[in-house]
Amino acid sequence: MNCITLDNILPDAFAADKTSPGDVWGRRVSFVRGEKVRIEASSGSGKTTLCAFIMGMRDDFAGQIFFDGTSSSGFTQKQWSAMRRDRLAWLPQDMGLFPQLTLRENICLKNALTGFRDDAWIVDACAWLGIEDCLDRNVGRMSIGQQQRGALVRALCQPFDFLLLDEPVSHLDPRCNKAVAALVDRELRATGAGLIVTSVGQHLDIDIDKRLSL
Amino acid sequence: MKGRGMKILCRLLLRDVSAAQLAVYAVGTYIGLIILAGAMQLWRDFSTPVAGLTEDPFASGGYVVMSPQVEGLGLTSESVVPDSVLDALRRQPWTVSADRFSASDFSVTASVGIGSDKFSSALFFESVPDSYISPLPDGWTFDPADPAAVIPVIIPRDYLALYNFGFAPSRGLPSLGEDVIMQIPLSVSVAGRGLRCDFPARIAGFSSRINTIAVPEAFLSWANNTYGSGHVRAGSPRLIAQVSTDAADPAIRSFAASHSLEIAGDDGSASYSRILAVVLSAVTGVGLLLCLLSVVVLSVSLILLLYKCREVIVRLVALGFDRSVISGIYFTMLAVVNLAVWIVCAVTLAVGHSLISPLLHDAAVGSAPLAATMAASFLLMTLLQLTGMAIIRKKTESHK
Repeated sequence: MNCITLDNILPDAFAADKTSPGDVWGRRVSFVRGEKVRIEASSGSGKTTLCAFIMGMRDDFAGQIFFDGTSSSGFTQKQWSAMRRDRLAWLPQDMGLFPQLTLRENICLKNALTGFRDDAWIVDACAWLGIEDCLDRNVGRMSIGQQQRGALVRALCQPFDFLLLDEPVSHLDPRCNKAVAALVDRELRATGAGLIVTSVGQHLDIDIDKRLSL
Repeated sequence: MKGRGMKILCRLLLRDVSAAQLAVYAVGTYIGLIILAGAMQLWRDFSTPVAGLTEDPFASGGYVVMSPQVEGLGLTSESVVPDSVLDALRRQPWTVSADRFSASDFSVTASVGIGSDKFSSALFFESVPDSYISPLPDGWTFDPADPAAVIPVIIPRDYLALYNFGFAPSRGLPSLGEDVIMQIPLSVSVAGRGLRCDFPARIAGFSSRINTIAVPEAFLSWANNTYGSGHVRAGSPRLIAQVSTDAADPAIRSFAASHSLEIAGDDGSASYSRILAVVLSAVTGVGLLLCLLSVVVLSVSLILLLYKCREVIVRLVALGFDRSVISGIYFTMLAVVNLAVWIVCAVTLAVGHSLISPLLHDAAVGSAPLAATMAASFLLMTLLQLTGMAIIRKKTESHK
């Protein structure tokens, strides 16, 4: 997949306010494979909602989303599952980890679905982000910052054309931010995928090609 | 997905399963199912002839035999049921047909040899029109012109019981099954009007419902004309009626009482069937109610479970898991429970039936194969499984 196009999408909750000043709601925007885009906005302006629309987790919006020119409105649940498994990697703002499982089990669960990474890659990635000693710890007992890094490793355990990161460094210090950015950059270079990263204040420390506001 | 990933997925999805709720469902379903299957099997048993018994020629339809009440020195010519009563009987809404028994008007002596013993007895014969006999025994005809004609006879089943459990043990003779008795040739000696003739005869059937020694009407009318004294030409004291309801119907009792008639025949077995039907219907109702309650428990349990797992399901879907994979795990869980319940129920049924069969046999009740009951209970469990699957699918797909 080479292109995601948002065609005049507007959340139903924002329907009353049709005069959005941003670059996304109610406009036509495209994200191209290989391109790194940062979406900046203040809290409550719909960054997480936008990610959920693109991932097919919500459909309470007007307008259309096209994947390589095909509208997502007619997608079946199986098509969405395949899209999430093979095309779109997503780190949600709430991370979506299972607190009752260890970090290793969380990552293995996703990797068992895709079979994309080997154990060595997972351990290396965790070591790179400084959380290798958390692998066998229940996620519920990890700090939010550690969970954020663990969730990124899990998000990368699949093939993808676009990587959606929803405020990926909101709980990280500058050193961890750099480590995350380096890992993301390495994987983007390896796969040639596009990046859509949202930020409410603290930006992922990575060079971007385009900046949009909501 | 296989192996470790599937194990983690199952652990994640099944950790909120309430063992207590599943146990309530399983026990409730088990009890409901065993009651339903038990009632069905009993009904099938009661509808099956006892092994080794031939089919009762008077078993189909409801029959009532009515006779005048006998008091003091017995019947007089006035005691014979008048034609007006027979006509009244025929006009009843529940009467399909009604006729008199024909009775023999000559002396009959039957003899039979069993082993080295030969015994004989004075008998009487009666007949009813062939339309009352269903199924007609093989060879239920008599042609007086045929010199080799054999008289087929239907005797009360109780006579065989009297022989087997009374006469035979006291004389050191073997007990005989119906199929064997039917192979033994009888000799019937008929005498009257100064004439005497011997005929070969055979037992053609046994009846538990009509208490008479019945021969084909063709034989009796010919024999009465040939050997009869003319005493019973006016009619037999007994009436037989085929009725559309069962013989225990109060309307029939009321009719009999109003005409000073006694009801014989299958009155007892008809009441028995009616009581059995009522009891089994009540039991089936309880079983159905329990199964219905189990469905409610199952539905509530599944809805609660899937509500508790809502967040987990949404996160799995966001990771790329297909909802059918998630539903599949719950389907499997339910199938394991249902299959276990069915297996325990089937084993209980098989063991229970093997224990109760001898008792039923002693009570002259047959023993139907269990396969149909097993299949019906499996079908019911399949329905429960499909109901559960529909709830799981609906709830799993509604989570967003």
